[in-house]
Amino acid sequence: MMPESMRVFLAACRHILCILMFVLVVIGPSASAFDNSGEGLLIGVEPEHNIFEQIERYRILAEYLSKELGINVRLTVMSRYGELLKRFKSRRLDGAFLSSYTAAMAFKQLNLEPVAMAVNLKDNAFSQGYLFTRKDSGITAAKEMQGKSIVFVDPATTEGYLFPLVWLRQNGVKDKERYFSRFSFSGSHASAIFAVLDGKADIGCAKSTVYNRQITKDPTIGAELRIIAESAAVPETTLCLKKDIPGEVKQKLLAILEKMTSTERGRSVLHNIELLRFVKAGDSDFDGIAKMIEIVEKP
Amino acid sequence: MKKKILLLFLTLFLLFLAGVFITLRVVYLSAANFDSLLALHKVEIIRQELIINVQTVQANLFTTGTLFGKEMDDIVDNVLKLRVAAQNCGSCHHRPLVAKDINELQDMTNQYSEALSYFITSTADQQRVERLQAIAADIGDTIISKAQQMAFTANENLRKRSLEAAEKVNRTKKILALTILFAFFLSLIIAVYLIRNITKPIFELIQATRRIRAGELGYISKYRGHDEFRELIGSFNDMSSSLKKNNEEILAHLVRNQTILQASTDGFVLFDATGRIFDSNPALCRMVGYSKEELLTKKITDIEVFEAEFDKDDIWKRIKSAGSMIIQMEQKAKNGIMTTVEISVTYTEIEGLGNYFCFVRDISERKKIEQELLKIQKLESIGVLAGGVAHDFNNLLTGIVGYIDLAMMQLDPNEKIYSRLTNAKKASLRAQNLTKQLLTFSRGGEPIKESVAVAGLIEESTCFVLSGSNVKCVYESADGLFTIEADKGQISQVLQNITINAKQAMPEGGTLTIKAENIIVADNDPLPLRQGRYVKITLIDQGPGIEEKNLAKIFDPYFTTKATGNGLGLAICHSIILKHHGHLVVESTVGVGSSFTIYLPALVREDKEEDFSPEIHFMTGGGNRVLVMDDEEHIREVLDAMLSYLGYESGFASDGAEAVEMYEKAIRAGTPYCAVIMDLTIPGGMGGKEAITKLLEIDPSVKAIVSSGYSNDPVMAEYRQYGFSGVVSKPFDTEQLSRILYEMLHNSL
Amino acid sequence: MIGVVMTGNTPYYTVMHDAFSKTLNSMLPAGKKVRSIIQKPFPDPIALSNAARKLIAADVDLIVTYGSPATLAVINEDSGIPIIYAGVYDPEAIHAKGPEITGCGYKVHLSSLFRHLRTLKPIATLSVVYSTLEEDSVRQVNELRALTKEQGVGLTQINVKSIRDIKNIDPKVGGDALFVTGSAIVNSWIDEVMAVFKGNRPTVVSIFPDLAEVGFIITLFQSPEEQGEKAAAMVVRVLQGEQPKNIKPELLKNTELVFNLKEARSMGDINPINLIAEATRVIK
Repeated sequence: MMPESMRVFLAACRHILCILMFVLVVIGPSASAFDNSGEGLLIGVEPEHNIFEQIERYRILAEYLSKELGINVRLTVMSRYGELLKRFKSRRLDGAFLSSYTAAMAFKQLNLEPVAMAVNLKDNAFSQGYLFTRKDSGITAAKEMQGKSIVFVDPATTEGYLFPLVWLRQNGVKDKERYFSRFSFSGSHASAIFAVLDGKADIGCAKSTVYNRQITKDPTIGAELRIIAESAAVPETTLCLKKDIPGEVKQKLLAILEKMTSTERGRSVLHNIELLRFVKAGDSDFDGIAKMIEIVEKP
Repeated sequence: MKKKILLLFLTLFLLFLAGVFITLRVVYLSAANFDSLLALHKVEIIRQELIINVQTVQANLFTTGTLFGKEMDDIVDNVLKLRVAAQNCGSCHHRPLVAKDINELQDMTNQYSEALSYFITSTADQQRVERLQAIAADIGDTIISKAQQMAFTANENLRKRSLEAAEKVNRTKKILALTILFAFFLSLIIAVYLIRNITKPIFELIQATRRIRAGELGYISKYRGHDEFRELIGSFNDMSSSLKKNNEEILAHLVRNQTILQASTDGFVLFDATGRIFDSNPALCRMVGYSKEELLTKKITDIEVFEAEFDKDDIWKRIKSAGSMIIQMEQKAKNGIMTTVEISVTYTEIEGLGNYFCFVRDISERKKIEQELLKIQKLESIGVLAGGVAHDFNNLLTGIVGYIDLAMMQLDPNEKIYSRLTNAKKASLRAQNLTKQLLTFSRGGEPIKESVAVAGLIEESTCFVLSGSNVKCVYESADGLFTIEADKGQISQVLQNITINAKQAMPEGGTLTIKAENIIVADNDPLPLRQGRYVKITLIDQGPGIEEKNLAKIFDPYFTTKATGNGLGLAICHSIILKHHGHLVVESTVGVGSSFTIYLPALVREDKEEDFSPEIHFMTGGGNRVLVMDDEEHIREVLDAMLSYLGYESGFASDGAEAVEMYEKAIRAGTPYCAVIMDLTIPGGMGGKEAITKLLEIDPSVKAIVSSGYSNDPVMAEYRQYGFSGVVSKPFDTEQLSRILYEMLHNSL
Repeated sequence: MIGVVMTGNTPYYTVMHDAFSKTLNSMLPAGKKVRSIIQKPFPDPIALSNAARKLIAADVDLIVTYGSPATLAVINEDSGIPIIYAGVYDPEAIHAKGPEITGCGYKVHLSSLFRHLRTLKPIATLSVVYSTLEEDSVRQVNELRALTKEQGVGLTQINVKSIRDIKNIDPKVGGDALFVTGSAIVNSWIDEVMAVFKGNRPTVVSIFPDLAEVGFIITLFQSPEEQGEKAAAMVVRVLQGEQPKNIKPELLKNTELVFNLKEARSMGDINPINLIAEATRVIK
């Protein structure tokens, strides 16, 4: 237990710090013309498997960005992959960390543009979609899938839905409902893997990063599954901002993100959020998805 | 007391420390209790927060609808807070049971967040989503119920702890109060004790000093303590006693000094630099003829005696610079007799003022004595000379007498030459007496005692003195007079001196009656004599008698009424009689005459005076061997003849060493000497004194006679102490020799 | 008239048969009734063979078999009577094929069940309860042996051929978990088996649903009802004149993962969310 005196002292310090910060914010020259509202940037986060750790990590990033940018960067959780874009509008978000599919959809519908991509600890900013079955199922090609059951992740995922649909279509399967005895959505990439392992479905699909993580955790999984198809690489997590946000802010933000590796504090934040670095993202990074959407949307 | 004070202060200090310790402990315990309570309250707050967080999440969980975004943030926030709260729960120390509960709670919180995470991130499979929601809700409910249960337990504990804490505080308050009260009373007792123990002896001391100041010197305090005050009062009492004693001593000293001054025959006068007289004593008053009161009004130069000297200009300065001075001066007394006075002046500065202490002494008498002393010194020189002459003379006489004796032995007593030899011998013996007188006069030493028949000695001594004078001597000796042990010569000298005085006192002629009788002095006799038998000899003359004022002084040395006398005669007599443990008194009636009475102690062993006739009786040696040691050859020859006449065989040695050698040789030869006659002094050789020591070593039963013509040596007087069995003064005749040998050999000596 | 041979009197097959009967009755045209003779012999080869022969002698139109031992016994009689099987574990493995044979089998991935078990608790030794009287049970043990060997886990085999064998079980052989195979004998006497471990209750997993509600923590199984229903549908088709060889044998795909959270919690406050998430049913 902290002694009372110490607590009082710390509280006093906090107050003084707050006042100082307040004074700096009020009196100091405005860091950005954009920050007129005083609310700063509100950035959405698409939930991942362990949402709380994810948020804790991103808050460290937000804190860092606020300090570096001179603009208060706040985070909000966006739930439900599918309804995400609706939330984006209703919550008046300035940007979001988005998965590839959502990002692609957002560019279309919400006037967003990519700014930076997160590079994971395996030095990869991209992920792939895997299509897999149990090895003992004997399924190796699309034609052997007929009458079998398939599990997707979520309609709003590149790896867990868009990619398998594209693959199936490319392999001559146009009507999934007829071709498969049963199809379902597992709700998470990991669940799709377990559904196939348990025999709840014959074919499954998942994001390569999750698939690999599961295999790392339990190597027997890899031994039991067979990857039938892999998608093209798509950006895994991309920070997208509304186009109407001033370019200088975007540039500054990108610069801060890109230079994180060159500062002690930046490296520490990167370490905490389990990323190697941020790299600039461009529209071209989403070409693959765009193509996939195009294929799927073709009648 | 110091120890006590230290001990008491130490006790107080320790008590104070104990109080401080108790207080600190009480404060610490109370603080710890309250900290603990506070901690419990804080824990309670954390738990409340935790419950609120879970409840908020739970509420959100079931109110999720299409508008989930906002609630999602809330859930995330609350879950993160929840995790912090759960961690805080475990951050303090708990009992194992509670710790287990908290661990479970933390586990559940983790599970809760995990379930929520699954729930939130599950985007499809409605059944699964609902299941996860239900599980999350379930865990949340469990957390709430568990936390509440724990909160209940904690509250219960809190309540108990609060009560305990309050009770402890109450108890500690009481302890504190009691401690303070106890400390206060103890301090009070200590203070009272100390005050009493310190003030009482101090008061006693003050009382004592007041009494002493009031003059009660020697006052002894009765205070009885057991501490330094006892020592202090003891010292004070000692000081008081000492003061008293010193004071008394000073007073006594003053009185003594005053008495000395008052009683002194020397005159004393004290005057200052101006000559003014401050003090004087009666002797001075007598000397100068003024009363003390008169003197105190005068100056020293006003006094006739001092006038001459103290009128001199430089005398004051000389006295002052020398410190003291002795001045002698002649002055004519009022009766016209010239007297010599000695003035001893001492200058002393007392309190910056010069004081002259002046003693005046009449030294006329002393002057006279000094002159007499000069005479005595001359006489002593003559004595020494006489002693030397007498010694040699005695040796010569020994030869003369010896040879006369031997010659007479070879003659028929009827022959005419025999009577002439007899007269020669008599004359020789008188010569011997003369030498004895010379010796007595010269030595003044210890008497050489021998058995003396008083009647004969009286006649021998006096007859010679009175011969040819007009004084008639009448002897009245009682029958059976005791033999005395005396130095014949010395006693003879006494009788002669008194007889000479009587003769001089009766220049016109008269009768000197000499009586001799035995008396027994009893224990209670007024005479200053020890109890015993004495021979009383009284010499009565018919002279003018002695004036009473002179009577007491007649035995003083140098007192004389005769213009030609040295004043030593009677003094010597008195001295001799005293040395013989006797007594000499004088009685005199002016115009009738004087009588001198001599008491001499009788010989303890009744001697056979009657048997001891002046007739010659030779006790023969019967062939016994006698060794003679003498450096004078003629003496050896005489003794050889005498001893062989007496029937002794004799051996001769010229010094001690030879005698010892011969004696030893004789013993070895089986023909030992039965007696040894040794000369006391052998010039340049071993004398009798040393030889007897050697002989005693050889033969402890050696019988030796010491002989000397010069009896000044103490060996002659105390011969037995030196190991001799007998003594014989030179000269001696055959009879004396035969007697002493006989007596010695037949154990009578 | 149809004959029914059930491998022992096991709830799994009973439930399967109930579903079969219900479906059959509902599928038969109105007014048409099917009589059935049911044999539930103790699953030893002779008893099963006798039961098969009885039905053959009774001249039944077709024989429905539940479980591998019963199916194999009937096939061995080679009577030419159509055979519709159900509840056969991995039918391809026993080559249950022939012109008169069709049916609906099941296949549970034991590796998957074991994986879920290991998410629940660490396993160093696994005990398996089976019966050498039952061929499918033996196959499961063999499969499990290979699996545990591969993963470095010890395996203790408990063979139950009679009720006496159950009494001889050492309660200490429970290991970290107890794997109950799809044995009719074991599942018939499951209460007795669990009673052996009373006081030292093991974590039990099975490929049969916990029909006796003895407290299996994880069960990964395929629905007996569905198998019964599918068998009934096949029977109807055969009765309507279709040749069994024209009816494609089926292997159930719908695996169920049931997690008994109640049991898990009774053994400690555990909420394995992953298991809960992946389970098709959670017993609370």
